[in-house]
Amino acid sequence: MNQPMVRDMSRQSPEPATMTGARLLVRCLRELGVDTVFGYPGGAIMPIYDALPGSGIRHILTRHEQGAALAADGYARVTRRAGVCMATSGPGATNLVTGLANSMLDSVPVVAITGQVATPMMGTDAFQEVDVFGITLPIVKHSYIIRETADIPEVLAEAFFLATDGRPGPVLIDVPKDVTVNEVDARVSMPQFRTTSQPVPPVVADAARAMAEAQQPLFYLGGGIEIAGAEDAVRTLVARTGFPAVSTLKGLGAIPTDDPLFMGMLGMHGSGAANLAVQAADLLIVVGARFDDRATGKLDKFAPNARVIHIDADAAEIGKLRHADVALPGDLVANLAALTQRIEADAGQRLAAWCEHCAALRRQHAWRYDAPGDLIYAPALLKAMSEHAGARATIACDVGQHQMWVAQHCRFNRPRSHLTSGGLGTMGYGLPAGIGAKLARPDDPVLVVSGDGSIMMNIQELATLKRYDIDVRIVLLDNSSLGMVRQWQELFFDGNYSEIDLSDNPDFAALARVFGLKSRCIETRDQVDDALTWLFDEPGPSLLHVRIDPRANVWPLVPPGKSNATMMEGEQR
Amino acid sequence: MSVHFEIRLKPAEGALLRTLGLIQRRGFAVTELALREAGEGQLLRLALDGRGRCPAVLARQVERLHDVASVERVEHEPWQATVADCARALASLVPANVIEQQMTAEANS
Repeated sequence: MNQPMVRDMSRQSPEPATMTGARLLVRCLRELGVDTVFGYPGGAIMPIYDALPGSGIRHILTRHEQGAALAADGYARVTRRAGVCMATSGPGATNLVTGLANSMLDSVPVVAITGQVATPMMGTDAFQEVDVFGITLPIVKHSYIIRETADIPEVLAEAFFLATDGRPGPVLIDVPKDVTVNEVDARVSMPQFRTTSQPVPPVVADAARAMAEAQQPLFYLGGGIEIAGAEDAVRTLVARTGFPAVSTLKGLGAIPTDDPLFMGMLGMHGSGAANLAVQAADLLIVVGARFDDRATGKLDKFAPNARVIHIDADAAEIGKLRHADVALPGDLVANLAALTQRIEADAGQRLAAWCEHCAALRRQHAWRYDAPGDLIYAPALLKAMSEHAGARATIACDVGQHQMWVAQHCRFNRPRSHLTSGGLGTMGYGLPAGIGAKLARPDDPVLVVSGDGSIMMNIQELATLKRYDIDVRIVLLDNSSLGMVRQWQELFFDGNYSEIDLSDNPDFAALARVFGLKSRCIETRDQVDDALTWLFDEPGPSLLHVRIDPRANVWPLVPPGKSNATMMEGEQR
Repeated sequence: MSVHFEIRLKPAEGALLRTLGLIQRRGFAVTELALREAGEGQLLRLALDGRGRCPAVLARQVERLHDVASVERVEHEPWQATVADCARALASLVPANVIEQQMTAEANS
């Protein structure tokens, strides 16, 4: 699969004959192109921190290791390079766990480097010793314990290769303290790894035939597209066929939100147009998606009349949940290009009735922004915010009702501009991810949309914004409750509201000011335009605290265990 | 219904735990297991109860682990000796230098 090649690092930078493992590790990071790491120092990783100053690597000190892991995740999503986070042994390492699981579920390339107690102490319950290698086995793509200082270059090279190769994911490297302290010959070589390209399967002809025969074909676009950098390939294919398309939460941005062929997001909080089109389709061309339960609803009632062409970088996803009539595993760009060459151009005439049906669905299920009352209507505010931010904006969001409103009402025309915790659903993701995104895209606007529950999960990272003057603008939607849980308790637990009341929230605008950010608070509709102007015009990191109706719900909603054709609608507030 | 796999593990720290953990998390119960050294790595033979899960999908999920060199679905039980096992066992009864001498003699003749 990969071919190691040897590179002599000593020729590139004159160094002493020996160096410590820590200095070697930092030098390897530079060699691998790492310019930014997120982390938090502590006992076992101190030798590595000792080697960082003057290395040319920018270290961002977050205020919690989870913030470091999630910031590395955000950085990686935007750059498509491995994000790097560091923590010390014990609690430092365990605090990375949620971030690593987040990256695993969303296939994000992250390399986590953890300090470990010295090798002779391992297994003795030493101070701050924890088996982070064992703890993280199920939530990393791969992991290492470096046992010999001389192994550092090879392990790092392989870890960065694995993190980004094929279907990306997090890789953990646990480094005992003695390995970083020991001296090693500085003239070490570093292997390089290259992906061997896979041939396009011959069944691509079967896929083209199925597309030519279909009467009601539909593209089903997933997050694998932006992971593979296949946006251009998929946009070309969609445009050439003229077939309508839906996307998953993570597939948003694969084709522009305002493309006439785009029907919207499917799934539990998807648009009515997208869900009904999927249910009516006779062919689904699934690209980089994995039939997640939030997207499909009740699986055996999902797209009941459709044959499936499944194109995915990960062969293990094909046939996992839904049978694929035509399977195209392997490189997405190559498969899409091969398919584009073989299919008929613009089947619009042949599919006129289907396309008109889809267009009618779009009109019938267009979002409405005319909710009654004076309180701020979150969907309308987010739509206005997105329009105000422009096409170059990146929006990172947290988890809950606001996450679904962002997906429904913001425009994503550029790949990797929508950062969301789709798989794990990590509350607290938005702020650190926004930090990572802004450091990766310093010239573009970066917005964080959060909720009053989520923001408190990583509120300490406001200090990181201030410390490095990272120009992230935060829109905090505050309904004084855990809104999504409250909505489900209202609808599916007979209104038995249990532990969702957050009416004793702190004054978020004041809190932001304490951290050194600019802030404002609004609570009525007539304040929105002025507040958005302030948010975008005022330089530097800031927080806009938006009070919304605590009773507001996200619509539509496919009830759990139901078909996507069963969408509940309710009052807009 | 029981399914049987023969998995070759690379000589990597945690390879066995990682592989068994994945198999169990994907909904397969390990009902029988045999493990032995094989070359630089290990050969793991398993009998699994999939409870309606698809063994072919599991094979692809195991195959993508970096620690795994190969995955093969086999018919024999983990404890059953294969022809290759018997050959290997017989070979191990003969000292290596004897085999070497015999091969040299055969080559010369």
